[in-house]
Amino acid sequence: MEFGPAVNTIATWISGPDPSWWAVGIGLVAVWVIPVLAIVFPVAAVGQIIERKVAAAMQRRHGPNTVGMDGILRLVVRLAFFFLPRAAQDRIQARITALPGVGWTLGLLQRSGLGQLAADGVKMIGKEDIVPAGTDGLVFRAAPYLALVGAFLPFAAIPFAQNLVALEVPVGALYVVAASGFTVVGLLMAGWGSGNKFSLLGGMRAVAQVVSYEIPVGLAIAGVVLWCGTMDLHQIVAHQYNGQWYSFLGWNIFQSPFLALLACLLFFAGLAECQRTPFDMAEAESELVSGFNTEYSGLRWGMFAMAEYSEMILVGALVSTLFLGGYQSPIGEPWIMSLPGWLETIIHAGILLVKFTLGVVLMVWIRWTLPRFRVDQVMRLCWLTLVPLCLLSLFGLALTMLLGGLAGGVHTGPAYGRIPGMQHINLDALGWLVTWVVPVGFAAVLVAVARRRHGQMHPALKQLTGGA
Amino acid sequence: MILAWVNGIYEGVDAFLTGMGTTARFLVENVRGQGGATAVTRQYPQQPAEIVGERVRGHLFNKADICIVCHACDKACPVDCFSMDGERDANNKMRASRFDIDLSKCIYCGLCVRACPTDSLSMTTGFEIDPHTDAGRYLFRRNTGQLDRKLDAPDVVRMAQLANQPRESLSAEDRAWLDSVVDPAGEHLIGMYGLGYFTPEEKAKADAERERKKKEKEAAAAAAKAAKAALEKAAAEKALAAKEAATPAGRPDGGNAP
Amino acid sequence: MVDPGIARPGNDPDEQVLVTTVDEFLAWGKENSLFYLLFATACCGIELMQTGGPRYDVDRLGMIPRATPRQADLMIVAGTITHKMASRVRTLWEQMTEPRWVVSMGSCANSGGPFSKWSYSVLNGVDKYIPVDVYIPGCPPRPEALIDGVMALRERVRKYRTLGMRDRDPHVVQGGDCAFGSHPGRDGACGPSSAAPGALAMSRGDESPRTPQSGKPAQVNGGPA
Repeated sequence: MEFGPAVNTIATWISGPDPSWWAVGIGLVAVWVIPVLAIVFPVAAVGQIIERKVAAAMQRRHGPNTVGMDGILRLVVRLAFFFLPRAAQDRIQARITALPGVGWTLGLLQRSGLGQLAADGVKMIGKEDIVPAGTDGLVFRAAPYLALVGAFLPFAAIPFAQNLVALEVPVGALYVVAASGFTVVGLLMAGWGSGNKFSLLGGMRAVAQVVSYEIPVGLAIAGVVLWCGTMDLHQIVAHQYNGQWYSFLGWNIFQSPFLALLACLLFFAGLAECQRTPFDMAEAESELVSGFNTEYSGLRWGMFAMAEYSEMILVGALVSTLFLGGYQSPIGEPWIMSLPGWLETIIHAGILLVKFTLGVVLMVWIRWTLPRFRVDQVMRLCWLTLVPLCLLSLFGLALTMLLGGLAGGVHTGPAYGRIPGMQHINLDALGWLVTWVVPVGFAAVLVAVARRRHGQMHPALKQLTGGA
Repeated sequence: MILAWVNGIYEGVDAFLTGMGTTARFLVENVRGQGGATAVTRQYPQQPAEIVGERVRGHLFNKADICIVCHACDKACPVDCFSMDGERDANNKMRASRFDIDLSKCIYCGLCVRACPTDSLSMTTGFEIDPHTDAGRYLFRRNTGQLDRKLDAPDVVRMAQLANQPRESLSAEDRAWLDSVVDPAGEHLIGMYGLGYFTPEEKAKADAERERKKKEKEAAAAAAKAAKAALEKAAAEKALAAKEAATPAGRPDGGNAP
Repeated sequence: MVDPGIARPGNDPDEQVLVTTVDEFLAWGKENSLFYLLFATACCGIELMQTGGPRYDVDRLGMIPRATPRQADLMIVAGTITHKMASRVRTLWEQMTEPRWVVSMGSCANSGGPFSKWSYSVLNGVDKYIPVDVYIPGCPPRPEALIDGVMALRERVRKYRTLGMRDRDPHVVQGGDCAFGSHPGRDGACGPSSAAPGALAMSRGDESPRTPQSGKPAQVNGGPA
């Protein structure tokens, strides 16, 4: 099937049984927009506060905790009771705040920093919109939108629930990689269009990094495609369904150590795609002022920030979909599948939200742990570490599939909703154990030998530090 | 070479996990509020400021009643931030009528304090600058070292809490305690002398008063001088008249009677 | 204490209630989310960094440092400004997007500080080149003093009018003198050249020393006092 059933539902609702192309288009956009606006956008916004609070917690301080929602409450009260004098409006606001649950909620919003989000947004909208004189007009203005497009478009192919998926095309994974290429163009346009040497340098570095790290991303996705036999993301999710209450064992990450390794590689390559520390040399504050977004202010810059957090969510959602069962719950998935449609949609979307929020937290955690890589270190890491490891994993995965197929053949897995059962390599418990123990054991031996050979401390240093 | 590569990967992963473990520990301890890595933030201004050491060079304070306006601090200052006027009081002692320190120039070096012969100028440990609230005034007074005893952190917290409430709502005991830690010399020490913390009205009033007194004195001096001059002139005229009367009228050569 | 200079419903017949209410909300947003420019020259810069550090965290007030002036609201001039640096400071200030505020931190930025009397190379106060909103005395001011100055600035930001500007000069910040703002310039705005960005040095020379007028905010804001 080409489009998700929700798309067809909306299209037929608009224009009858044989929907015209524009009705299908409207349906497509609607089904894509709903999870993006309702799920991704809020998490991207809250992600900025998560970042500041987690960073603060790791640095032994408190993050934003003084801004409450009193400004918004005051605006609402003043607008609602505009006919009263100011003193009366203030009294009303005080009374509202004194209500039992309200004060507690407002206090919670203040301490958690979510009030800060409102203040930041209001301030950003009110900033002067500067287009510097030396910029390349259209290029400068269009760049943030392209970055935003590249961050939001790939969500069309990511399944949020059984029926909440816009594109169920047979090339879903490829579509995601291709659509996220818009950000590359956006970055380049921002760097060039700013009319600023340092921005251009930042933009070039960003493009070199993003384009290089598309390779490990593509290879990791290729590994999953090899294992599951399909590029359709919804079918990949269905492939990870094992029909038991312990659904997490069906997830790709537990199937083979090579898949687990590919998951980590996809995560780190995705981190580099988003230009997050340690890979953020494109916007290195101490080196390049602010990289490609130096000349952007106010809402234009807000779009870049939103694009960055949305890309982080995309990477989290991609890793979840490919390796962690997508929107499936780790326990009790068959029970959830038996629930009525609307409830099942909400629960599944919520589970995916939890998974990619954990991914975002992990990215924030990594950002505030590691120092920044140099640009040559970034390139070395990509081409000399990630790519060879990806290729080795692909090779190992293919070997596993070959030997497993020879040993046990294939079987058809359980049907998942409206997706028929897919082919799995037939591995009983012993086979599964072998697929794990052999590569991990081999790797452990290799690491031990390598450590003995190259991991020794220099004798002088050992003497100096007492052999620690 | 491949082994070196493998070793590099292992070391990288090992370092990464060690770092992540440390920050995870900080995160958990900070959120739980217990452990060695809790938040160290001092949430000023909701919490009072840090209690600094005794020899910290904070704001200057001048005890105007013993300042003799000798300009020693003025001469010692490397950036010329003093301006002062003096006038003699009833006992003919020179006292300061205006004493301003330009806080934007002062570098808090303390040379003026060392130069002062009467020890009227002293360096306090105060660095908070919010004297237009009552709480700020109390804390400022405490930090100026004008009190005979040092206050500890719990006392500072208590003072900040009490000072932020209206005075009528405090219990008698609290009121008494607050009064005991307030500068006994009174409010006028802060705001009129020493630190230039005038409100514009007070400054205008003080300036006008000073101008008026100066004009009066000048007028009095001018009148006295005029009176003296008149007296002298009158005396001179009298002397001249007396001299003319003493000498015989007529020609100076002693007379040539016809 | 009602400051007659601040535009308020009932005070200005041209003012509309809706505009004032929305202005208040916008000013609330601007006040609670001041991004400061990552700018430091000398020792005050160290205190500025420490004020952003864990002990005296300004991030809890919503202030985070931004490296580019385009995204910064506030420039805290922390450190000695030499004549060589002065034109760069001016450039940075001009590159800041409005609304923007400047805080002069420390004696060197206020008036040249220890270098004010004899130095040939130090600018006697950054307000000769850019308009300053708040002056913070100290050498260097302690982080608590810097936070005090930021609090005073926030009171000033709270009075910023985005919409209700009708016939007023948008370069003049409406509102009273702040606790530390000294040197009332034209129209009562702090700093000598806030109403005319092109104006430069106002000599202070040997006239009365500039004493920070603290206490109650002065009644300013143009018009007959």
